[in-house]
Amino acid sequence: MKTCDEMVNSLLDRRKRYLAAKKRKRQAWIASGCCALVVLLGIWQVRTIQGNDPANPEPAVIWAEKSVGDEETREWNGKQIAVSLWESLQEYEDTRLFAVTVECRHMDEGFVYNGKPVARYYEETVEKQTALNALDLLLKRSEPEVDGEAHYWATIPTNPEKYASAMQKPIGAFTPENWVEEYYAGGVFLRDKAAADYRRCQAEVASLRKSIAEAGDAYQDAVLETVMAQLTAQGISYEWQENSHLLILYVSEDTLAGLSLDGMSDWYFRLAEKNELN
Amino acid sequence: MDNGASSYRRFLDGDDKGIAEIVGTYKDGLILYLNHYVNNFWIAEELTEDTFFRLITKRPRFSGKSTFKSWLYAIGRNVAVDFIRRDKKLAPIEDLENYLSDGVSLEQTYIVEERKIAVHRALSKLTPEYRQVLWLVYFEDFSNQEVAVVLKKSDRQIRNLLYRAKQSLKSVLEQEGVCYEDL
Repeated sequence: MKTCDEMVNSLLDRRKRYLAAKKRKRQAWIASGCCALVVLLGIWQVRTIQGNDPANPEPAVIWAEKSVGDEETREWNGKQIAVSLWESLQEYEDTRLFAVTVECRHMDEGFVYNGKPVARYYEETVEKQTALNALDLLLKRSEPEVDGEAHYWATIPTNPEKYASAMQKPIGAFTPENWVEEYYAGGVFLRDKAAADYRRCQAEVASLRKSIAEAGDAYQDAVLETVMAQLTAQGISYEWQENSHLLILYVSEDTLAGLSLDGMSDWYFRLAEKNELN
Repeated sequence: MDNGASSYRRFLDGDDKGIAEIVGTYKDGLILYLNHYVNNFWIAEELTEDTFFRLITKRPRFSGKSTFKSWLYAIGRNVAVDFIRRDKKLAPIEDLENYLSDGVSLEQTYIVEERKIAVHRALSKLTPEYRQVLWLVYFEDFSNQEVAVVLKKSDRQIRNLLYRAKQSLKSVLEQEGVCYEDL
């Protein structure tokens, strides 16, 4: 049996080991606690940083992940919204904000741009485009290698029914009656003249299309000014990108549902893409 | 405050000599007492060391409502009960000669008186419960109240238990030709 001294020494040794093991356990707990704290801190920081992104007002805003191009729409609370926006509204919580652009789907053709109504731009474009098509057709059909076909077109005046059928209807100067006078001299096709007119017509069409696009932007800006006035009156935050003619609303699902604009059926709502911003 | 309590106070204050004094004072008695639970001196010795180990690691508070000895024995009893619950099947004694000599040696150093040694050996033929209560009363001079603290029973239960234990001891001693009244 152990003597008293042996038992005391044994006890003190055991206590030493016990305290060392206890210290190790405590350190392990502290280490694991610190790891958990670091992880939690990291998660908190990531969420905070995401929430404080200057491009995103608080709380985090939902943007379109990628361009979806022309989208199908569906009616939602009396509004025409893009399907991708509708899906996002279903996916995210009510409290999140959505970056939504509002665009007018129709253009008032009476809108005057550079002293001319938009309808007149359309008419001129159609006229010039048709002439361009006619000249394109005439030049191709008059190619020497397809002489048989060229002869067919060269005899247009003698076969006005076929010409009218091919051209649908005479446009401006390009009527079956004046066609020969314009591009034939003594029965010879004036290729250079037709080619020069083709290039001039092509430039005019491009210019008209550009003007229509500009008129569209001008019209969009004009109507969005009225929209901004209505948004301000309803206390809805928005961002106006003048260069991109883009009006972005930062709205919750409830706010968007309750949004009211004049002529609502003319408006189309979709999720904005971040890269649309300047 | 008895000596054990004083030693324990000094140990709590950082003096390891305090625990050495407690071990020196209570070791043998505690081994013999715990032997009544496990009927194995070596295990009783381990349990005694475990009792002191619990004292120096858990550092339980001694309130002074009972004597230090009865409080220590109550801790020892808990250690023994835990051991029995954990390992009901006690290991067989392989070195019987050393084992018996250890027990005899301990009796001779702790009990000293031949008559009491005879009684102590008679106790081994009693049930564990009778052994425990008789040991505490006759060999440790515990009062009924102190025994009640150690065994976690009421005074009335201790009185009844002690009465039955005495009757049983008397019967065993008479069978061995020892007169109970002479003790």
